[in-house]
Amino acid sequence: MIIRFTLNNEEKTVDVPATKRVIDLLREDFDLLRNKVSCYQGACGSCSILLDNCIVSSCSILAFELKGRTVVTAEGFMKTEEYQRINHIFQKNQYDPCDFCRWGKIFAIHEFIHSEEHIDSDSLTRALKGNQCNCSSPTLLLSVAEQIVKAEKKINTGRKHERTARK
Amino acid sequence: MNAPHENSRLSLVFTPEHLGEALSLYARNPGAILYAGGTALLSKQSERLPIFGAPLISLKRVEELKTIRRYENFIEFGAAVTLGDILRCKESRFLPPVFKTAVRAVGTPAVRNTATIGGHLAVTERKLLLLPILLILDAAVEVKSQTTTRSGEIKRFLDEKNGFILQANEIITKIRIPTGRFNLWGFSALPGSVIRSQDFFMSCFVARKNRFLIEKINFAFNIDGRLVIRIKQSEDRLIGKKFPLSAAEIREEMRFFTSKIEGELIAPSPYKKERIINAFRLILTQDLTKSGLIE
Ligand SMILES: Cc1cc2nc3c(=O)[nH]c(=O)nc-3n(C[C@H](O)[C@H](O)[C@H](O)COP(=O)(O)OP(=O)(O)OC[C@H]3O[C@@H](n4cnc5c(N)ncnc54)[C@H](O)[C@@H]3O)c2cc1C
Ligand code: FES
Ligand code: FES
Repeated sequence: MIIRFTLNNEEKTVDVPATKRVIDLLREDFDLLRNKVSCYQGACGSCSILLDNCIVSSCSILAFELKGRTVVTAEGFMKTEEYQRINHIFQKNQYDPCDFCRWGKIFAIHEFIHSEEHIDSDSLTRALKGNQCNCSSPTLLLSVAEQIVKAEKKINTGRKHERTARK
Repeated sequence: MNAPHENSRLSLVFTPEHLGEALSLYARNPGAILYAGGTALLSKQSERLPIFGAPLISLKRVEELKTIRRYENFIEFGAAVTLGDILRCKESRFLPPVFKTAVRAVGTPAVRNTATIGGHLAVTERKLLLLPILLILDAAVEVKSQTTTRSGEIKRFLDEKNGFILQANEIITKIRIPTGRFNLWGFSALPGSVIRSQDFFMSCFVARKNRFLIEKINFAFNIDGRLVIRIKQSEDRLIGKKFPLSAAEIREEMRFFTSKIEGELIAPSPYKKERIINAFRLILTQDLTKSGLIE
């Protein structure tokens, strides 16, 4: 099946089996290897990507579903200023998750930043659910996520005010 | 009409954009598999390249199944609306809080961004989290085939074990969730709403209370994701009662409820029976003065 979609800001066309899993498509056909794969069941979070700016498990999305849609992988997100700021707060807190859970956590935080959810530990815990990781501190993750979300929301509100003022 | 896409190994995938197209494809391919979010369908696939053994009809691009509309007394969701979109849409602030709380408890953000409300209802192997909630809210569905349309409260579409029954070539098209009917609610899911767990248990209720009197109360329980229990006679007995109930009334209602539960459980395990009875006690002993979550 021929599929046209946007991948990390570039228009792409591929000819692949319609039911190929997107994680395999990204890794095998585009050599994008930063997103990992582990359970193939939508349960562990290692294959997380952004599809139309929403976090999804790319092992649970099939190639035909990409038609006309926008995908951002770890490689694409790393080029954004938002990622630089997130990474800075990770480093400041000496929080360095491994490559298997890193992107699930980062994309979950990204989605939370752009949601209307209240910032409290319940909703942050819910947002971060789905990243199986028993080897780093969940308390630290919550604290880091809260710092990031608060900082990003401030930036976004500032930008909104700026736009309104310019109008 | 969209040309089907042939997988190099077996599966044809149709990607209709309009409901008429989807219904006619389904009528012409009666063995086809409806593919909505695919989360349930893929969880049965162990192959890296999934093989379905039948054509797929993808519902995610069908315009009529992606709409969200607010009417005076209900909100209508197209069956292919994702659980994530339900939480994000502007109409969501009018949804019953018990429903929103339960949607937030389904899986993970990634699952909710993929799974659809129609697919959630149509899963037959498990009774999922939202089925009891939709039941107690008196939610309705619309189901269409190429030649027929059926609609009505969800309970009319369930078999005696509360499994959703679709007839040949029918597609769930709309789910309508009443708004503003209830002013009290409670929801509890253990452990942490992980429906795959062997030990899953959830209870929920909604009620309309006018000063002290209960005008309507609905409750349901989901055990192990296998059994959804509603005891209608117990609900009816509470209508018109003044809350909080007296100790004697609680005892009497508990006795009645327990006798009904004995007959309902397919594989009665004393532990699970005790859980339902305790959850019912919690509903009864709430002073039911404010809406909120029972943990
Ligand atoms: C990692 C993970 C965690 C999960 N956690 C939870 C949880 O905590 N709680 C919970 O309740 N559930 C949970 N689930 C299950 C999830 O809620 C369901 O898989 C999902 O709701 C199904 O929706 P879907 O759109 O993906 O359905 P699909 O997989 O596309 O379809 C499911 C079934 O419904 C049929 N179907 C789909 N749409 C229609 C339609 N419109 N009309 C008729 N038939 C249709 C399909 O043919 C198929 O038989 C989890 C799933 C995963 C993968
Ligand atoms: S590999 Fe996709 S969620 Fe685990
Ligand atoms: S799985 Fe990555 S740090 Fe724990």
